[in-house]
Amino acid sequence: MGASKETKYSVCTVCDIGCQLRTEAVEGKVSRVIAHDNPALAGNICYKGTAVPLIHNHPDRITKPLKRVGERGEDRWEEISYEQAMDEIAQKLAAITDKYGPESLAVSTSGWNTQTTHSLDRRFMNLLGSPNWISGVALCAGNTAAVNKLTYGWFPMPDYGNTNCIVLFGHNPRKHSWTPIYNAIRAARARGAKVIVLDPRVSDQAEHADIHLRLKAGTDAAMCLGWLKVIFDEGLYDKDFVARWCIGFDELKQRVDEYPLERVAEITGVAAQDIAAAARVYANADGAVIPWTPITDQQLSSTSAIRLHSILRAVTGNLDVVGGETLGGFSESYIPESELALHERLPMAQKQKQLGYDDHPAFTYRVAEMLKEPTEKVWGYPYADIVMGCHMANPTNVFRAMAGDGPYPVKAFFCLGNNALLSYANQHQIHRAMMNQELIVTHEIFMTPTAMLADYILPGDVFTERNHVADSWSWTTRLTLSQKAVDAPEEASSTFQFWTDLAHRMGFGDEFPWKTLEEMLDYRLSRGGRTFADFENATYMELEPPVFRKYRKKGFATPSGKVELASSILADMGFDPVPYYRELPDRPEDYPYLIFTGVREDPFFQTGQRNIESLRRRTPAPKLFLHPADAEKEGLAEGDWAKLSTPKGSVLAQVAVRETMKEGHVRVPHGWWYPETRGQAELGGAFISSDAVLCSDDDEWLDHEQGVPHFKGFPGKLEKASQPEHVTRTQPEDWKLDAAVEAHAGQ
Amino acid sequence: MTSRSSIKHRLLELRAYVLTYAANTMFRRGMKKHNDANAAQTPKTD
Repeated sequence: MGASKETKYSVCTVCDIGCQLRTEAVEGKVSRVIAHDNPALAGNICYKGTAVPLIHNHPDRITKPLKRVGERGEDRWEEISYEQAMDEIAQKLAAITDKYGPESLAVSTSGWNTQTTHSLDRRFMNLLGSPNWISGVALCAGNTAAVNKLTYGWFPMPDYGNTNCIVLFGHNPRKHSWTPIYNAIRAARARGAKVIVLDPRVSDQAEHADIHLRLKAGTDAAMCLGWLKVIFDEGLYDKDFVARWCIGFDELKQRVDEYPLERVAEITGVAAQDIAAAARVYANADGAVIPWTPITDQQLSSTSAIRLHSILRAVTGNLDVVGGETLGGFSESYIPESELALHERLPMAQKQKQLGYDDHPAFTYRVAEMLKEPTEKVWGYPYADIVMGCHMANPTNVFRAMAGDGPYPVKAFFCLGNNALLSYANQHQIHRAMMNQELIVTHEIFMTPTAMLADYILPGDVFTERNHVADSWSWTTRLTLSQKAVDAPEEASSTFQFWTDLAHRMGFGDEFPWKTLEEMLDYRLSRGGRTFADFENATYMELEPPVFRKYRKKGFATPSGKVELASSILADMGFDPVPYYRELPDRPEDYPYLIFTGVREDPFFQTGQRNIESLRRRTPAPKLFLHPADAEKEGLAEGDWAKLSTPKGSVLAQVAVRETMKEGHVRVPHGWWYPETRGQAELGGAFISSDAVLCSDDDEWLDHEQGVPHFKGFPGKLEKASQPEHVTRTQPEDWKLDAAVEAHAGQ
Repeated sequence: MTSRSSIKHRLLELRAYVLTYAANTMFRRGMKKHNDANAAQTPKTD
């Protein structure tokens, strides 16, 4: 074959936003990733996208199955064949589930990274009998989807193209992070839409906002109650919609009246008149959106705050209308993962064993079963897996069980495309849990701290090495083509292949009839009478025509068929049916700062890409942002190393002094480890700077209904420290430059 | 507050519908162009 240069359309999975880009390959290697040739899509590329050839062709890619030969975590391996690895994994898993029961298998995964699982993980687990599936989406988007369903039975999508007002609760899309949303906000602003930002920092979005409320971290629920107070008192709500389509208004109003603006001002630190002004702009916008935000997902009152976003949409008449937030439903031409997962095959007795089912049920099978009938009536399927984030176990409950703290043993842990050790709260507990396992399997493209703790590592493929049709995990009805450009190296393969091959070895082969990803895509597209080849020949993207106010035909997918301002499901489970704000536990005097974690940096997605030279060059070391007054108080200057401690643990990071920070707040970036220290620091430096070390998941720091930990505003203290041992490459010039990345980053 | 079922909103809904149709047409045309270009790139092996 000659050196021809074919171009393919690919859905990038370096982060979770899913830009469609173009991939060029020469002689079996990805040579360049460039922007789309459609002008409407060409702006959707960041410098992480241009770095894809460096990631996919990286010499450290794991390309053969590895089996542990030393002690767990010792990072000593032997290469074995794929067949041997799968045979041994199947035998060991069978022995563990025979001994402890099927629920002793837990799986942690990130669909963003693996992309082509097609819910075969859930299918396998449901047939085996394990309900214990967890994911980072429990803390980010997936939990929002589940909580939105409590109010109106679906997770809406903002209509950026027609909206007149965008409300960003701490969310900060930038040119090189969540680029399509950044572009959509820019376009909306250019045609006159107002932007309201609620963020303790002067973020990039806040700099350009029409209104910026610098609320105290973690007080979103109180702020929303304040907005509703203004909206109800001044009659700014859609009375007709509320009367015809909502239940529980009186109960909600009674709760809202408990939050006069003076009280909200005291809780949030924002002046009452500013709260009122923002609420009026939102309610009077004639088409306004509150896009999903990870910030509200990760707070002590998260369920209430997410519900309050939902309630604001509904009472202001912005639900399922043009310029508001639309309830998409399932694609009519692509079989959804909700169907492929076979949730109905998991017996009720096993569903009830799901960890978190009793304590924190909001995104577990407990709620799924209560929503089954209305969901089938309105959306055509009994289970709606949106953004994968429904019917999940609670991560904290899973790690406690893995560590031996009950209620039953969890002894096998599979991590696919997921660096679980650094991805949830309380890293020391996760480590203890993993050290107590009899079998750990990971499926990865690079060695990670989590993979270092495994018994087996299967080499994963990447998006340029496989075909796919992306449907945003049922969040939208848009179908986007992703074409294979090159073959996966050596024995690297997809998670689709992993689950299929394991199922055949465990006796479920008949339920996994698809031999290739293309066969699976043919099956899913058969709902619209097409094959993958048909789709690939016809288009690179397909949108379903918008239908507004769909609820007029079948109502909402809630038990009452209405928007439940007071949630019947929460009431039935013994929780407060109307939203509230919960005060933080008392802050110890010696922990004077409010820490907020989980913050993304442009060069990286979650815990990834620290080994990519040209990306690391842009942020060589983690940065703690703090206000100049706080820096002075602590005797810290720009570039110093500081130790940040909470009652759970300590991390080291470099100080970045910023006027844009709110005094008393410290911002900590997410997911830091140091791949270059492998063989020197413990687990690749996983305990040096990772924000998961700091976060508590003790009961008092968990949201009641979902059990998500409070990441936005927990107590911490600072002191000056030395540069950590083994971490030596802390300057940009210590990392190699790549012209394509630099050129795009500079645009 | 403007009624969400006013004529203005109906027109905006209609516009959204038409724009979706136009976008799908544009995507299909783009794919045809792309497939034709790739076909021209493929070396003849026989």
